[in-house]
Amino acid sequence: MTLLAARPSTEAPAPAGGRHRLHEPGGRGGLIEVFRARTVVRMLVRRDLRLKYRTSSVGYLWAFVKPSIQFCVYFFIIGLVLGIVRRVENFAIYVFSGLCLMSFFNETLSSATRSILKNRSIIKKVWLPREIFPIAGMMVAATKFIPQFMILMIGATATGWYFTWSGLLAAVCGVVIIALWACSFGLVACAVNVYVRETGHVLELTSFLTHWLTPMVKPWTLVRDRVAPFGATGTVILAAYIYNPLSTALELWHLAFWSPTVDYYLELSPNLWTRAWVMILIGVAFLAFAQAIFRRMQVRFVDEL
Amino acid sequence: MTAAVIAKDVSKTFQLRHSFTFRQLMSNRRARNDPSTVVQALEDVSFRVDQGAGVALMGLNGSGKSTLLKLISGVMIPDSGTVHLRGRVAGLIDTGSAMHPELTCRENIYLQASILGMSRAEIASKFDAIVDFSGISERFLDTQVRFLSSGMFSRLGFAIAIHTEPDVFLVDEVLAVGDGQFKKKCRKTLLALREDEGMTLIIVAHEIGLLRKLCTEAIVLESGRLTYRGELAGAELLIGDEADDGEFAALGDPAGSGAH
Repeated sequence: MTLLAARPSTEAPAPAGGRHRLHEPGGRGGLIEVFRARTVVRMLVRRDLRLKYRTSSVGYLWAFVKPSIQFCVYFFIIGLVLGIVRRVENFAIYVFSGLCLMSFFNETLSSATRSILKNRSIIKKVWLPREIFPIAGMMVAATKFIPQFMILMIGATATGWYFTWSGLLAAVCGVVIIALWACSFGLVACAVNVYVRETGHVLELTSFLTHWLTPMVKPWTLVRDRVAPFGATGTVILAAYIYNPLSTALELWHLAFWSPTVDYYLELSPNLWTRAWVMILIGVAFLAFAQAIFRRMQVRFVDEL
Repeated sequence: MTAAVIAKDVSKTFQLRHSFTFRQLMSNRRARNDPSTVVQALEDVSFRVDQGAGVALMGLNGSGKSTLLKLISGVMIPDSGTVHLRGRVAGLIDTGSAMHPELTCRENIYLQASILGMSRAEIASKFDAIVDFSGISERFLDTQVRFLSSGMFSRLGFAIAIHTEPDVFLVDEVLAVGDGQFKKKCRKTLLALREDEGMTLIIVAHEIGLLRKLCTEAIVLESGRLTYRGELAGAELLIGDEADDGEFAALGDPAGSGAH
């Protein structure tokens, strides 16, 4: 058995299509390679949609059940029983626009988190850039968002919504913030979930918190007024409440979809637009960071699965 | 000859963790006992496989054969040492890894073929050939795979894998699927691809008869170490005793034992 002098491995060229060159098996991975492997992403998304809705008799209608029940509960309990409808005009649209955005965040995050374990039979046997799986998972979850958004548009238009360019900008910024942060958290969470299978429980908690520690069911001014007597502590609580990506995105959405339907001027939280841009920038940086973490952790995926 | 696969000083260890919860981890830390066991799956394995060669990867269960295939396909990364290969590798480590019983044959073909690296246009152009090879009749194409027999399922998986036209083809015990006729067809196709197209074939199988037909060379692993590299006949002598104990014969198909 003679081993011919192989090319020194450290100088081995990248595989990129080099059919006739020696290369290391597998590839570098990364979000750019996901784009290159988009056929696989498309097929995985198609598989998940088929599996999800084909086997149940009412199929796609299930995508509406959870948000509508949540909406009803929030509207009746918070709105009517606790009386927020007296403070917030057109409360239904206020809640539903927020609920749309928050379920977009929660669904994509939890779908991404489960993606690696769910596709373990593929990951163990075929090399693919592994970011494919969380990305495909998020795309499946995002399909639920579209019908919800359509209902929101119908409801808002019926109650007097009209188009403005600033509203469009606010809506787009809100979605971009949510997408960036959900994607980043999702990448980290799915990698961590391979090693510590506790992530599922944590996610239930985050989904609960996203509904209550944000201005989804109550305007931020209400919180401001309540914490005002507590001085410095109150300021810290208010800052934590406002200065997070979810609240920023929510306020942008209220600005885009709810505020045209009401008569009075919506008081924006301080520096909303500055915060929007900052959250997008941090989101981009966080995504790069999350991708780096994912790439480090995926090396031992197959050992652990 | 040009090399298709070169492995150099490849080692791989696994950490078997016995504790998953924080409480277990914490109590282990307090008691200062290491909860994980390190298993050396491969140790300093070096070899070279030429283009168009047929290599049998032999050894007892747990000797590191599957780990080696995973390192070649790139699914796993070695702890130390390097693996290099030339061209496209198809990890036929398991037929139909992505196939799902609830999907139809058509959907499964598109899914599995895309996972193995084919583009949509490529799948569309080879679709008929895949169906034809698998022997599934046209009228079952839009039936969920779960209604087909398990043999059909494996045949479909194999048909897809073989149509990816890889340069290096890794086969892990999948030839034990299907009926005798289909096995023969697979064997013939693999042999033709190797001899005519210069495809490199690395096979893990326990059937000596099958290996004799497809391979000329062998690599023998023993507890993660490479103990033999050379002609297939030599490897047969080396592990002949185990074969007689029945471990290899148990999986033998009629054609295989006939050649014995």
